[in-house]
Amino acid sequence: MAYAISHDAEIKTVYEACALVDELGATSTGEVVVSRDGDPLGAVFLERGRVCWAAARGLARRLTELLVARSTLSPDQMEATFAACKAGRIPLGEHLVNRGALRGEDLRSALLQHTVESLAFLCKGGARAGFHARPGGGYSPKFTFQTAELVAHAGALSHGTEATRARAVMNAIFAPGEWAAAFARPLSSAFPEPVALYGDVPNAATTLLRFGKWAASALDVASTFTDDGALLTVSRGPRGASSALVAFRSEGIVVMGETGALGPARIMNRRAQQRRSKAHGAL
Amino acid sequence: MGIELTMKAALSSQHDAVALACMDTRSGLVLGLSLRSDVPRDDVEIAALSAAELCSAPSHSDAPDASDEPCDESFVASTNWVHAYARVPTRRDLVVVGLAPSNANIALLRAWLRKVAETVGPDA
Repeated sequence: MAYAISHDAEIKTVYEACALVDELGATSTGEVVVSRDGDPLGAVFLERGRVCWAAARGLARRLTELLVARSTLSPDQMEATFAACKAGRIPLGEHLVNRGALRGEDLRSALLQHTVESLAFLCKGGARAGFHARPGGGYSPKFTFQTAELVAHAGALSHGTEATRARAVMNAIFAPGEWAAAFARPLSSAFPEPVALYGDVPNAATTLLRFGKWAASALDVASTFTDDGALLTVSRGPRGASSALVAFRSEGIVVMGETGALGPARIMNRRAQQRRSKAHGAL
Repeated sequence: MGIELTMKAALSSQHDAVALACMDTRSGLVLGLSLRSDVPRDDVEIAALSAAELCSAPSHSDAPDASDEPCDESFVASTNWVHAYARVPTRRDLVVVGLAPSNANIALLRAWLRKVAETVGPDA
């Protein structure tokens, strides 16, 4: 059966690949085939708008390596399991989890790592990507990814130190039920790059990046009349039932998030406590 | 009462605030500004001119071309100052900006600014 190709586009970065997936919409199921000069390089598999995994020519063994590093199986045992799953058309990762050879969160982290590495490989040097709608493969949603998570993981791989620092800041400042994201601003990039996430962030990479651009730009504006440590709070929604968007800089990282109406007061308090403990530590 | 007089009268009614301004975000003009003591006028003007950017925020829409939406209120809290912004309910293109030292009660400052914004509409 032939399936129509849609959304043919050039992709040069993981973000552009994710933006293409976002453009396909939340119901898209099928594969984005990536090629260069007509030569297929690999594919990104989608189910209901979520990325299941990405396959790149030459990187098949990398997933096995990532799984072995996290599982109780030896490389030989993993190879045998891989071959058996391939022959029986059984999803390898979920089979390993069901057998107790791998924890669910470790499978997820291996798939995330492999998908982002594959996307980076596919996009390197520029490529064409075309979407082919196909029936879904029945992937478990808990082992699939929103594009926002993929771009943040790609950012964390590029900016590891900033990502670690940002996670600590967000864990200390934000509360359950809130969401936040941290962005690095490398000179080489035209836009802030997400490096760490907290809570239920917007699903789409394009939406997350819009929030990051807003935060970076608003803090730049605020810095024309105030200091770099300023906290910006914008109330959203009707008064009394509103949420608040907050944005601030922390050692070169832009952090922004959405909180309840009382969130800004709590965040100001926690930041003041952090400043005080830093000052006392320096004495 | 003109906008300048409204700003002056409102500022005199709040002891924490040291400056008050009204910005027209559509024309880019500061319509009225009142200062207390030795606050640099330029700083307040710059804060007022930033109202359009600082009193808006992105929507949750996943549409790629979604633009920022005007918001009712915002504030910037820094080491020395609090800049608070409130949109005029009857003239959404106008934003009132209040400035107070950082040790001021932000909730009271914002509540006051909200009331000022409600009185500004007819004068602007």
